[in-house]
Amino acid sequence: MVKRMLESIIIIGTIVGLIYAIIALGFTLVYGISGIVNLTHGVFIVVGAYLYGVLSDYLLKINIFPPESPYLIPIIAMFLSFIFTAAIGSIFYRLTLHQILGDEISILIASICSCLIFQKLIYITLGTSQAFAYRISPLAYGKIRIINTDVLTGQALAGTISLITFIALSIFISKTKVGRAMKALSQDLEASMLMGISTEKLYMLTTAISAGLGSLGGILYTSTVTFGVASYMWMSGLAVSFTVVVLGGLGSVKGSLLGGLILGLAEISAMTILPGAGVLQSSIPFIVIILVLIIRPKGLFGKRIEME
Amino acid sequence: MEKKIALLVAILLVMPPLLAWIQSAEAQQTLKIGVLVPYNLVQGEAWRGGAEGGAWLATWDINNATGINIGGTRYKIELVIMDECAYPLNEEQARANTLALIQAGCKIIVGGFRTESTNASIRAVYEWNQDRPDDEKVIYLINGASTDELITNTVGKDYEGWKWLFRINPINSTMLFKNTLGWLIGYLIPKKLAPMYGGLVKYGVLVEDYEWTKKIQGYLSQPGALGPNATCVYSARTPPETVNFDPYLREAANSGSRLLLIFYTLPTTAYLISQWYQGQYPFLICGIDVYAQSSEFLKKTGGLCEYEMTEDFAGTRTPITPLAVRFWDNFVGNFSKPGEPPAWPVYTAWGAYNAFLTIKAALETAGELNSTKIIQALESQEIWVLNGKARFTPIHDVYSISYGVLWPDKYTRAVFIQWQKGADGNLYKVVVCPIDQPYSRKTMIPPWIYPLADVDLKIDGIIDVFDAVILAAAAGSYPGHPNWNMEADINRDGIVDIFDAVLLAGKAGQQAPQWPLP
Amino acid sequence: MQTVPIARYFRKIYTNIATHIYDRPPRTLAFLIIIMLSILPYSGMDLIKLEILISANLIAILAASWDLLVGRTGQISLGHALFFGLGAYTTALFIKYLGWPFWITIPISVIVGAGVALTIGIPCLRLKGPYLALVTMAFPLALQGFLYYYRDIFGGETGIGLPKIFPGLRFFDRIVANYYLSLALLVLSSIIIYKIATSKTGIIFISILDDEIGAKACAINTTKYKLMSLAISGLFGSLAGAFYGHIVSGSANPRLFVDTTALMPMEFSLIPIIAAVLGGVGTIYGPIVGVYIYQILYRYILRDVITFNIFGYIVTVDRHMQLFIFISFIVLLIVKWPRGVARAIVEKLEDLEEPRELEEILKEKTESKQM
Repeated sequence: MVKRMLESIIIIGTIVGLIYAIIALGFTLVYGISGIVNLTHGVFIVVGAYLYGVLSDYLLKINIFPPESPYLIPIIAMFLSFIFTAAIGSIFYRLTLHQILGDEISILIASICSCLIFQKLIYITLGTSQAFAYRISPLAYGKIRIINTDVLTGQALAGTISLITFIALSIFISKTKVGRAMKALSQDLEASMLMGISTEKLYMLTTAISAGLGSLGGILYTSTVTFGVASYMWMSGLAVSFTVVVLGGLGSVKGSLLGGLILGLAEISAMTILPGAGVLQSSIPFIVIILVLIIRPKGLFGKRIEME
Repeated sequence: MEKKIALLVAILLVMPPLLAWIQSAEAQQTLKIGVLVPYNLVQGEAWRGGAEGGAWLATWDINNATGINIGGTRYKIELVIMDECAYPLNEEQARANTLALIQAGCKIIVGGFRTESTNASIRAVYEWNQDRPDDEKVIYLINGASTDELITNTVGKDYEGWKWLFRINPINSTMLFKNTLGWLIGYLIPKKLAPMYGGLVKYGVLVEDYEWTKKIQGYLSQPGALGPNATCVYSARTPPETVNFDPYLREAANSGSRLLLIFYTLPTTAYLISQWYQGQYPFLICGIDVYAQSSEFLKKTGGLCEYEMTEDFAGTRTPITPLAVRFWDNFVGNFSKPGEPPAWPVYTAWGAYNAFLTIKAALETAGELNSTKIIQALESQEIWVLNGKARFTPIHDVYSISYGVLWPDKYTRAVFIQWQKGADGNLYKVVVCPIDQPYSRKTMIPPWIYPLADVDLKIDGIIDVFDAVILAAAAGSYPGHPNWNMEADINRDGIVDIFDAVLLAGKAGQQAPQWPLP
Repeated sequence: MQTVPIARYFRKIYTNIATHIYDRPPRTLAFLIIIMLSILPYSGMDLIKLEILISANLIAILAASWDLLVGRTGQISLGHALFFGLGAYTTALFIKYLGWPFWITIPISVIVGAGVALTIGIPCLRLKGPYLALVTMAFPLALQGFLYYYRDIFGGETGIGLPKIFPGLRFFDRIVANYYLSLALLVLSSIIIYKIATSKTGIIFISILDDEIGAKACAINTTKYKLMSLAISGLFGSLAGAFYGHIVSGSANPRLFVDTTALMPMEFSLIPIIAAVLGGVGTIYGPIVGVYIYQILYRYILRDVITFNIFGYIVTVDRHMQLFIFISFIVLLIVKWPRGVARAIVEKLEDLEEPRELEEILKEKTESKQM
């Protein structure tokens, strides 16, 4: 009985953890490469989810796809949402953060205020009731069985997509020219500039990719776990992102994966062992951050070790 | 540098006192009535069915008729509407808006939907009234907030300080809950569900995590709360931002619930109900679902809300009183926006209209704009409003004495509606409780729970001669007829006739695969 | 600038005014402002509008405390609402469960505020920039869950009611009394904070902001001073929160920490930030000005839906759109003038003046230094 509970905690925790990892990936990427702590990442998660929801509802309504291929709509909506969010992210970066590069406090202040801007934008474009809660149709239905545990198909699918994205991203960074340029930037700024790497363009690209990844994370999370998105979810999205990043270290892609898994496992174990604390569930990322930062402030794989 | 900044400060601060506040002079023979309306909520805007519409409709109706006759002078109502600041919640602004209404010259204020903002609002009026003689106190009529404590902790504890406060709508939470209990214990469980499930009905309780649901959930979780035929097997609270109710619904089903009682004011019930319908969970849903009163709910669920039962003021265009249908038609006709769902009035709209009827009657009895006299008039009056007879209890709450399945006295009460398909295939809110009214219809059981429910009149699992006998005994009857049997009216058209017989015959001989139902 | 004779003339007048008023010692100016604020209730204004200023005064204390921590010591805090709510809840809990009167519980909540600041400071101040920002943001949000979970102790969403400070007064008299109380608190707090900021300790704070490693090289115990700054900040934040609960909101409720469905979700954490941007990060009175601007704008001018006519089209700007425009404007300000817009405006104003001789400027600078 305990063994089964442990199995289910591990399996579900891993899958949820993978989803958390992809949510945080963009956040850590942008910090690792450009040194910016972009607190707006949380809203990109939410904006991505909203775009996905609106697009898939619209595609469903105009009925241009044959019903035999129901997976076409989610894929197209995901793709479009990724592109749009990436565009929004890079435009936002260019207009705001780019101007105040280097001024850490101002970046933090500007990005937290921008979260509010995007939240209000959602209110303005979609109306108050949609901004309060918007239903996202499930990515997949039913359950599958993985080693004696019933897992929602949607979540398993999301976990797989997340893993594939991680692999794809590491291939991108290590094999392509652009990816290697990013890696160079993260290692030594001046040297990269000397080698002719255009920081401005790359920063924009990084923010674009990170926003896109954020939207992917948001889509996966809202379509497999909560089946809905609210405009104020950016706060918990941000909480998850930085918990993961704190556990795994700012700037480390591998750390993001590990941190996500740890958070996922922690959350699922907490929920299994102490049931009925639905309200506390949303506080768990915050509690974890506070505990971890108190005990071990540099995280596990920190790239830039920021402490005494 | 610093001094210069400080000088800027000085300049900025001199400006406000230079902005004079212009008081609008009260026109002759105009009575200003202030109304606080929860904008951004269904209960607020007129085109969504909210209180604003009720207030306007009442004002037009009264002004276009004889106005209000106070001591021989004819008064016109001038409506002053402000935001109650319920959503997004801003208690400071609620207080400021209330005081603004008072300063604009309103002697009577109608308002208060959300508990927090209503608290701020009446606190402001309390502080204002403390300095005024009884004759000049501002009178406040609560419209929309049902929390008991709003009255019991104020008028109930300190009559002299709070006697200017009344609640005209709705009946308080305790009474709303008693209505629910009355319906469940008096009809739904013994007459419908218990026979289906072999005498014992297992039920679950699902509530939103707010203050008002604590007592209700606590009570319902106790054994015997719903009578000897029912037992509680599941009880949970959902955080306000929940949109995914499947886990809760699944757990409720797994624990064996065949009836789920829900208590919600949040608009996310649209998701709850559509998830229930899509998942075809094996339990009925019944309770208090405020959002489900609106036509917006119908649109949001995409029609997947059929069979849900919830408390309401009235069904769709139901003749609760002779005034009700006219009110409904005028409301929908005046306030519906093209391209949006029709503006079906929700309970705050009904309440707002009732408030004006109450005010008019009290003023005309009092004969002058003297608060002491107005309060006395309010305390002693009994008038017909849109949904029954209205009077106040000694502590100024809504007087309501029936909460069972019958309604002999006609004092305002809550009704239960069920979303049912009409003959035209559209969904309407149909009154299923009280059961003794001409517009009451039978409760429907979803087909995925028991497909033979509407023709199995004896509720024994088989469609046979016994059911036919019941139908025959009621044949030709209609509401008010001595033989009337609501259950026998299978097609719910208000008369037991050949069409019902045909429906019964069509399923004759069929039986449930398992009886009692699992 | 122009050489048009009339413009020259106006410029001369302006310079005259500027040099004679601007260059007055700061103390006199501050005194003048306080006098002007004090006679405000008797200037014939609508007293209910005064409540906006009462609220502004208390939030200004919060903003000043934030500025000491962030603008002067460089420890970024995105969750200052923690102290605000803490102050209100401490006094509420003591009043409700122990029955002590407010004039005991408010000092207690001030001490508790400083104490909590120290407790969380010891582990958290080890962190730098982004990590610290994230932790501070997490605190109010984590606390929220607990407040709702232990609904019976903390009162859930209605919170715990707080008694009035002046129960015996009449309505308008009480508003004026509250106003003077809040004004007195603000003046006192800002004087204390200013004195700290300009004292030797304050200079150490600035040195930590500028170059922490350099400060450490000068044998300064940066941890001790950072903790001190945080404790003072927490002290005043709780003070503001406690009084806010008593005077303005009438209860200690979870919305003092964070309110997800409010118009501005992290209201009390973000207002100090916005105020600092408007008024000038690092100057203690800058955020006070910023809070006033924000509060008057938000509560007095942008109250409801604004509707106006452009070429026959009716444009409605509802509150969400208003906030959107406002915050976009704030972000624009941050991006263009990261060190506060008031400073930039004043610099521009200075450009308008006639150029002065070097000796004059030197004389003025030495005079003001002596103040």
